Amino acid sequence: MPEYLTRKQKKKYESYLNIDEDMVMGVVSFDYEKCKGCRFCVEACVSAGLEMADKKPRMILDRPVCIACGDCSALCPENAITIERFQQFNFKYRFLDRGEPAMPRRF
Amino acid sequence: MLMKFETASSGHSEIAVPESGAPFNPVEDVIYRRRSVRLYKKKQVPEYLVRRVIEAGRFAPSTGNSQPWKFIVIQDQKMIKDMTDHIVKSCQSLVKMTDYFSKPGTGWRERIVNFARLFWQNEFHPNPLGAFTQIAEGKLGVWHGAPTVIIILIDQRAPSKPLIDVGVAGQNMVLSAHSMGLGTCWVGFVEFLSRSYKWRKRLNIKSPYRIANSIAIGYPKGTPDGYVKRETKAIDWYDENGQFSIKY
Ligand SMILES: Cc1cc2nc3c(=O)[nH]c(=O)nc-3n(C[C@H](O)[C@H](O)[C@H](O)COP(=O)(O)O)c2cc1C
Ligand code: SF4
Ligand code: SF4
Repeated sequence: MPEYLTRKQKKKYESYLNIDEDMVMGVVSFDYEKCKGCRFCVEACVSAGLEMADKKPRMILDRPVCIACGDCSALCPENAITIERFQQFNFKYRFLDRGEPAMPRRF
Repeated sequence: MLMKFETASSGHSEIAVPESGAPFNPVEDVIYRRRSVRLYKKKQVPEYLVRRVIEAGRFAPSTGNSQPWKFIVIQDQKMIKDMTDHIVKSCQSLVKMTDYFSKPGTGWRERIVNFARLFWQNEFHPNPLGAFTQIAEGKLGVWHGAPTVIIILIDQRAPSKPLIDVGVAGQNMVLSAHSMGLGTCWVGFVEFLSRSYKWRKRLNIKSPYRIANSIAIGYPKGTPDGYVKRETKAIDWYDENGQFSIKY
């Protein structure tokens, strides 16, 4: 659901300083049927958040880093990557006025 | 509506206003497909292409036509490596103070960061902090092996907000590069150089110039450009009848 703060809420800055949500980083998922193990995604990831295991890529889980830029999915020659979750920061860095993610739309 | 104009090189082009839902035109397509490239071939970009890219920056709009930019082109691989080393070292000393998420139980780092955020809210955003750590540990490249680096300087005496002006010029350059099959990536970490006396001297950066940002350019490995999903943003819309609505 798109979340939106009304102008009144925006004025009350305090009210969303208190929103209690952890920093969540992006999550990508791999279709291992399609993946050919070419490593492109691992080498190109902006946040060095991917690694190879058993000749297939996976996310490094011990530190959240993915910024959900989708560069790995655009690069993947086999179209094996999808973004599962987008990033969100807590406290005063919270993204505002977000809607559903979408591909380029032709209006 | 059809508008005819003459271009210096290729005779007539036509610009047509599209119907609703019409396919993207080539300019739009470059805009939507452009992805930051972080995997480059070693092959150097020839001078004429780099000049062609910078030419696109030269024709960007700027506040009061102030054109407050200067470009430094670096194709010397040794120099790019030295600059990278300096930035890695700077990150290493910085994260000793700031890397609070990867070292649990070090609350004092978090307090330092939160204090610093009072003054540099954007610089100490969690996102760059994470990147500093990755660079310090050698996991993330700075210019990602691109053979050419363009450093963009601003003239600080320019009217209003010169950082916006060079941002526009830089994006002109990036889009024109992608339209010619090159790959690019903006690299903001170049700012570490402007904090170093040695590098200001080596690059001959004197007031009123200051480093704003940099762009890595090279031939991409594979085909990194393509569509991705981006979040839609709420648009406050006041229509002709004075009606207010929120569109996404
Ligand atoms: C001003 C600016 C500075 C940036 N600095 C860096 C950087 O230092 N390193 C990097 O890998 N990417 C950098 N980027 C690229 C962004 O990470 C990238 O644009 C973003 O993740 C969106 O992905 P896309 O460009 O593929 O659409 C920068 C982008 C901008 C606009
Ligand atoms: S780029 Fe695609 S095919 Fe190559 S390793 Fe990554 S997921 Fe597999
Ligand atoms: S979406 Fe971006 S940050 Fe996340 S894994 Fe892919 S390339 Fe890395």
